[in-house]
Amino acid sequence: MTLPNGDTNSVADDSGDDLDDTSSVGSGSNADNSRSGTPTPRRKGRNKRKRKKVPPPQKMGYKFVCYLKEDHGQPIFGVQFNQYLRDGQPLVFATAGNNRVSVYQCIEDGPIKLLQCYSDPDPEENFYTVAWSYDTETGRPILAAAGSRGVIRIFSLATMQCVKHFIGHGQAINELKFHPRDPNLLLSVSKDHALRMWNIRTDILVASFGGVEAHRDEVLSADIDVEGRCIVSCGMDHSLKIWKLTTDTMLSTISQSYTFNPSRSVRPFPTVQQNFPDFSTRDIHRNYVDCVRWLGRFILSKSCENTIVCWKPGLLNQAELKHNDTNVTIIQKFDYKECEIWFMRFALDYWQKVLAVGNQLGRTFVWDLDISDPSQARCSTLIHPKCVAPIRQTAISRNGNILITVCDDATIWRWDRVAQPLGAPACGTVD
Amino acid sequence: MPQKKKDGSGGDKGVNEVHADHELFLQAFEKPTQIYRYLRSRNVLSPVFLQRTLYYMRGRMSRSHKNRMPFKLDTLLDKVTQKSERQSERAASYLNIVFTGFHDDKLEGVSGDVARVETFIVKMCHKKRKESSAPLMQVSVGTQDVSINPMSSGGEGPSATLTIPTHNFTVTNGHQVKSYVLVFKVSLLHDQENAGEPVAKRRRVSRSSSQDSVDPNLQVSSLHNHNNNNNGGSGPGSEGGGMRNDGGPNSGNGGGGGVGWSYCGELVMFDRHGRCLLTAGHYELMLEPPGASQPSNKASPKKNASWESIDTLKLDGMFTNIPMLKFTLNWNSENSNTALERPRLRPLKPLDLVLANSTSTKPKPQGVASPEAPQLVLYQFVYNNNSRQQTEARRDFHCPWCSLNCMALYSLLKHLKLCHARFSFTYVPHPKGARIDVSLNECYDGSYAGNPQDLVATPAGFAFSRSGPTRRTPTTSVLVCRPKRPKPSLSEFLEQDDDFDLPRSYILGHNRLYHHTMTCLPIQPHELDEDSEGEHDSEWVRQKTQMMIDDFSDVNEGEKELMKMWNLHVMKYNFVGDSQIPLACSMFLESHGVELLHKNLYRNFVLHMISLHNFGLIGTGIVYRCVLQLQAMMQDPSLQKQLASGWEEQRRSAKRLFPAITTVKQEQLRHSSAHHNHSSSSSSSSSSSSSSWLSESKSSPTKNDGDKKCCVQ
Repeated sequence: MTLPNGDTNSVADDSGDDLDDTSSVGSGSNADNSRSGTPTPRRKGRNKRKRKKVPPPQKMGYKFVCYLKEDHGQPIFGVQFNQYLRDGQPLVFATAGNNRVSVYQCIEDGPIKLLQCYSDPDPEENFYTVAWSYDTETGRPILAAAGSRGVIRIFSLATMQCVKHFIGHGQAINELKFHPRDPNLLLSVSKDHALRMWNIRTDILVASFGGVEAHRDEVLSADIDVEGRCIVSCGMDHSLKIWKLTTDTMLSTISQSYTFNPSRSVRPFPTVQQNFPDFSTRDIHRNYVDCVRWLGRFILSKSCENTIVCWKPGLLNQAELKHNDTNVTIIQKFDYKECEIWFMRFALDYWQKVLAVGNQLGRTFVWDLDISDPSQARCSTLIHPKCVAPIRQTAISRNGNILITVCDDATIWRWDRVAQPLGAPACGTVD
Repeated sequence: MPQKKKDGSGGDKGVNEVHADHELFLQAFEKPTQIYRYLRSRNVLSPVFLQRTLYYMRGRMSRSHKNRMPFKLDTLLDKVTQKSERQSERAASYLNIVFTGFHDDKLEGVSGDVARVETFIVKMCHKKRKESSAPLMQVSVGTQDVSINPMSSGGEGPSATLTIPTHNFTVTNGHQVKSYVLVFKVSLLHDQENAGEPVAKRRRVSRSSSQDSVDPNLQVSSLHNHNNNNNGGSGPGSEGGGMRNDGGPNSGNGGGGGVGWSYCGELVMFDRHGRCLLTAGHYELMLEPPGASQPSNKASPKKNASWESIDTLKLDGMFTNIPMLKFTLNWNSENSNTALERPRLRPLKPLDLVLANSTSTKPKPQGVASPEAPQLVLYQFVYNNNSRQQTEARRDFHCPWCSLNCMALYSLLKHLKLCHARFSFTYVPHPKGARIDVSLNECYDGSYAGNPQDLVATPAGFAFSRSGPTRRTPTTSVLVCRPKRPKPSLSEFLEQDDDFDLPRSYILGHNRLYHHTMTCLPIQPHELDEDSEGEHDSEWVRQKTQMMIDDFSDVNEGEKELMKMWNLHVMKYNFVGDSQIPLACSMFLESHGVELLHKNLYRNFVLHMISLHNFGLIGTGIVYRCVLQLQAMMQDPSLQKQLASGWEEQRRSAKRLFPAITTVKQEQLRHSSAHHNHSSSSSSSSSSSSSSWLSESKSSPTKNDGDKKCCVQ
C-alpha cells in the first residue's frame, strides 16, 4: 500500500487545508469541559504536552490518513461504526458531540465524507453516545443517540427523521448499547444511578437496573456480552456490577414486551425493577470506572489510572456467578500513559482482536489481542503533531482496518491499518 | 398590514423621531404579527378547522340547509326516480375525447409519427360468490391515430376525436356493473410508407422505447403490431363493429407484453358508488410500457404502506421518463366537437392573490348591527403605554393578519378577538364606519395549552409535526356543549371595565402530564384511573430483607427461615401497634402454619412466641392459643406422616455424620437459655420421640448437611 500520505508529517493536506489554521485551537484545555473534573490527585502530564516530547514518527500498525473538524468546536464524546455493514458495504460511522449527531462514511483509502447530520432543537443538548442497530422489518439502519438531557433519540437514516424518542431517565445518559442478539433491545446507562433496557420496537421500558444494591453514583458505561446473557456496568462508585439477563423474569418480560398492547391494558407494562446485581465488585479500580467491555467471558474495564484491566468475576476456574462472591481474578493489565481524566472510552473491534484507547494528550494506544498469551499483547502508539486534545472515544471498523478517534476539540481522526503485522516495529510501550 | 402603515404616518416629525417611533411600534407589534403570519400560511396549507363552520362566520357558509326543513321520508322514492330519469336523459349525450398527442421522451427521433390509440371500455361486474375474480367485459369503442411528441402548441399533426355515447356506460342497463374503466392502448405506428419497410428499421423505434430486455420477442411483437395495424386500417369506422374482441379478456392486463400493444393506461370512469370521476378537462395519462409488471400495481397500497421521505420518492424521475397520453375530455350533448383547444399552462397565482380571491366571491359584507355596512374600518394601533398610536384604514372586512374575509364587522371582531388573542381589540363606533383599537394583550398566556400527551408522544404527534398523517393521541374528550349565547351584537366589543367573563374550560380535571413514580415514564391516559404505585411491601424490600437475614452469622438456618417468614408477614400487613401482635400471630399461623410445619420449624415458632411473651408483647394466653392452633394443624394425617419422616431422617443423618453429636449437644444445651427447655416441654404429643439434639435443631428436613454443620458448630 503506497499512498501519498503515508507518513504522519504530511498532515491532512488533501483533506484539511482549510482546517489547518483552526487545528491549533485544540490546546487540550479541559477547564471548560464539564466532563473532565476527575478526582485524581495527580496532575502531571500537563506540561509534557510539548511537541518536542513527541518521539519521531515511526512505522506503526496504523497510519494517519486524514482528520476533519466539526464546526461546533465542542468535544465529541462518542463515535461508533455501524458494525452491521459487512465487507463490501460502505464503512459508516456516527459521532455525537454538542447537540449534533453526524453520520460519516470512510471513503476507501481516502477522506471522510459527511453523509447526514442531525441537530437537536435544544441548543443545550449535548450528545454523549451513539449506538447502531437496524429495523427488524425493513432492515434499514437505526441510530440511537442520547446525552445530557436524558432523552434517547432514535434516528431512521433512510427517512432522515428522528422517528422516536424515549424519556424517563432522570438525568443525563452516558452510554447506549444495543443487545447483540436482539436489535430492538436498547440499554441506556444514566447519571441517575440506573440502567434501563428499552424495547424500541414497541416503545416499552423492559427493565430498570437500579436501586438498593445497584450503583450508588452515576453509571458511566455498560456492555452486554455477545450471547446476550449478562450486562456488566460500571460507574462513579468505583464498582462493577453484573446483571443476568437469563433469569426467568427477564426472559418472560422481554418476550412480553413484544406482545404487550398498552392501549388494551389498564395497567402499565410490568417493568422489571432489578435492584440486585448478580455480581458486584469494587476491587478492580480505585476511581471512577468509565468504560467496560466484555471480552468473551472476561471483562475489560478502565478507570482513570492509566490501565485497562482484563479480569473475570470469581476464581479463575469458576464458571458461575455468585451473588456474594468477593473474589475477582485479574488476567492482564494493559498500561498506557497520561490518561487520568474520566469519560475516556476504549474500543474493541467487532472480532475483538484490536483494542484502542486514546489519552488526554491526543495519543492513541493500540493493542493487538489476536495472540494466545495475553501478556504478549503488543502496544503501538499513534501520534500526530496536530492531535493534542483529549481523545474521548475510539472506534474500529468491523474488519479492524480503520481506526477513528474523536477529540475534545471537535476533530475526528482517521487511521488506516498498514499491511505489515500490527505493532511489530512499533514503539514498545508494553511494560 | 400594521408595519406598512407607519411609513405614511410620521411625515412631519424629525427623522430620528420617526425612527424611534418606528422602533417602538415594531417592538410592540412585530413579533405577534410574525407569529400570525406564519399561522396564516399554515392554516392555508393544512387547516386545523374551517372558518365557515364557526358560528360567527355564518357569512362564509354557502350551504343553507333549507331543504332539511321540508324533508319527508316518503319523498325519497320520488327523488330517486327523478334522478334516474335525469340520468337516462344524460344517456343521450356523449363523451368526447380529443387526443392531442402521445409523449414519450425516449421516442425523440420519431416526432411527427403517429401512434395508434385504441380505446376500450372495460366493465367490471359484480363478483359472484363462487367466482375468484370479478368478470370483466371489454368493449372497444374506437381507434385513433395520434401524433407522437407533437410540438407544444402548434396545430399541426392529426388530432383525433373519439366520441362515446353515454348509453355505453349507464349504470342501469341491466347488468350489475360495478365500475367502468377506460383503457387506452397505444401502439407505435409509422407512416404508411414506413409500414412496408424492413423489420430492422421498425426495430429501431421499438428499441428506443426501452424494450431491449426482450430482444427475441421484439420481432414477434413488432410483427404483431403490423397485423393489428392492418386490421385497424381496414376498418376505420371500426366502432361500428365495435365488439372486436381483442384476444379475449387476457389482453386487458397481461396482453401488452406478448400480443403487441406497446403501452397501455387506464382511467376509472365511475367508481363503485357510481360516481363519475371523469370531469371535463385536460388529461395527461401516464402509460405503462408493456414490460411493467401489472400485478404489483394491483396490490392494495394500504397493505405495505410505509413512510417515504421526499428524498426516497424520486418524484421528478417518475414523471419525466414515463410515456404520456394527452387528451381533452368533455361531456357534451353534441356528437363531436372538432374545435380543438390545446392545453395551455396557466401561471400559478401567488398565495396572496389566492387568499384574496378565494373568499371574495360574495362581495356583500354585512355588519350584524347595521345591514348597510360601514365600509371603512380604522385600525388604531396603540403602543408605548397607550401614549402613541398609528392608524390604518381599510375598506373591507379582511383580517389584517390572515387576509381572511370575514364578510361582516361582527365576524371580523369576533375573529380578531378569538384568533389573535395576543392583541386586544376594542371596538369604537365611528361616523364613517368602525374604529378598532389594537393594543398588545398583556394578559396573553402563551404557554402550551394543548394535550399534554402530545408533548411526549413518540413520534412527536399532531401538535408539532405536520409532515404527514399522524395518529391523534388516544385521549379524546367528547364535548356536547350548547351554551346560551347572547345575541350577536357589536356591543360586546366595546370597552368594558368590569365584567369580562373568562372563557370557561369545558374539560374537567388537570391538563397535566403525570409520571409513574418508579419508572418516571409518563402515565398514559387510560392508566390514570388505576393506582399502580403501591409504596410499601415492594418486591425489592422483601428481597433485601431476606438477604439481610441471610447475612446473619450468629443465627442458625431454621431461625433465619422463621425470621424471614415472620418479617415478611409483618411487612405485608403493616402491623403498627403492640395490640396488633396477637392478631398478627394468629394470621401468621393461618397463612404460614402449614408451610412452617413443612419446613420443620415448630419449635422455632414456639420459641418465637416465648420471646414475644418475654418482651411483654403477648400474654401467656395468647402463647397457649397459638400453640394450640398450630397443633390443631398438625392433626392432618398427611402432615403428620411427613413430620415424622422428616424427623426420622434428620436423626439418622445427624447420627451418621456426627457420632459424637449427643455430647456436644448436651454441652450446648447447658449454655442455652432456659426457655429452650420450656419450649421442648410444651411441645408434647408428636415429638415425644425426639432426642435432646432435635430439641435444638432448627433445620428443615430438606436442608442438607452443610446447614446442619453450621447449627452444630
